[in-house]
Amino acid sequence: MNYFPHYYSIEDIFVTQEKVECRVNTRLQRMGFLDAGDSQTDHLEPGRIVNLPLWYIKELKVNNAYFTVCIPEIYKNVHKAVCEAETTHIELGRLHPYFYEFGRYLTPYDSNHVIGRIIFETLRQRVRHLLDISKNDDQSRISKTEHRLDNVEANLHIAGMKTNAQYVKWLQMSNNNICISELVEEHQRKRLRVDLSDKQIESSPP
Amino acid sequence: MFGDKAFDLLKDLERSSQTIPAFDDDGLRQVLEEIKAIFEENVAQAQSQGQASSYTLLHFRHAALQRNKRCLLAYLYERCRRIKALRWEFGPIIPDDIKQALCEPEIQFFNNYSKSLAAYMRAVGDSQGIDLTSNLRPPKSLYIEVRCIEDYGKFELDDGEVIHLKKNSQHYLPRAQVESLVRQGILQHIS
Repeated sequence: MNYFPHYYSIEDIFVTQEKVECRVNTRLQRMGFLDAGDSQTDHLEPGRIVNLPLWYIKELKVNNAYFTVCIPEIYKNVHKAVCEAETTHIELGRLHPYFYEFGRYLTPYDSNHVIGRIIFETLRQRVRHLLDISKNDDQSRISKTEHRLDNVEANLHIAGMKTNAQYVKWLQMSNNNICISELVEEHQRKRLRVDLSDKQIESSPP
Repeated sequence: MFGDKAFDLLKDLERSSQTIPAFDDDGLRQVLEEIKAIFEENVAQAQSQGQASSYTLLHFRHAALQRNKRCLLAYLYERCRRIKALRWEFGPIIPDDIKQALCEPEIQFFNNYSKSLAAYMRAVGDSQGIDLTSNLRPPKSLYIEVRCIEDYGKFELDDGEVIHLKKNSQHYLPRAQVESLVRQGILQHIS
């Protein structure tokens, strides 16, 4: 699992698509279309709250005069206390599917400097739990939403399961058999499904 | 909102995991038109007003242009990456149903990639050539025991011997020539 956000990385594009709440600071001409609630305004008045996508916010300077970024609830102090109390039981995937990456993008806007510490502490305490479930889950049975993990954790989980499977196969000394390649297998399964569904359509009474 | 159509392209691609979905010609064209429209608005605004009164609007449109460009490039890059993986998994010929999902330039990309790979494999190994797509795991024996999973028909070995591959028949064949059939799913390696 070698993930580092680069220009072409689809995960990074997903993270930067998330919306952030911002308060407008100065009067912005002809930007009224950004305000989803009031469709008639032509200009953005100071004091209004708009939802802007992250890809626009990150182009502006951190201390810019036009918007102040409001940090979302999940990174504020209340949630921080909850996270520290029972980290392994929280379903991070339900809180936010890109908890860590999004937090990383928001750290420069945080005047209290808590986000960085929150995401670091949460991951540090959940790693042990991740290790346990990776070692004991079966790759063929698991579905992506069963544990409701955040994106980073889900990738680590999959990588962990794969490594564990390779280790077990090495212990059983069956690692040297030539296997059918994964893409070919998936392609055959898809073809089978299409054939079966065609047959069902043909045989079902009109 | 700007950038949503381009993001939809990527959502579809991500949803289909490792297989290649049909090339979304319409979606791509819509995004390109959106880019053109935003660019033209920007040019008109920059030419009509000399001062920096609506600088933020200009900047926002520019950011939207960059975003659309990034989404499109990521879409094409991911498809090319999967096509390269196709060459390593399926061999030099693409199966027909996957070929339908690719557009013309992508098929040319596949052929060019195949050619480059073949030229590289020929040049390596003291100008005698190594087949990099075989022997992905260290071989333990010269001959292997295989069972046939699908009907394949006749298969000719290097020494001229012709073998009938019928379903569920077992054979003892040289590893090097049979490895590609195992990876295609026609034979199964029995230990």
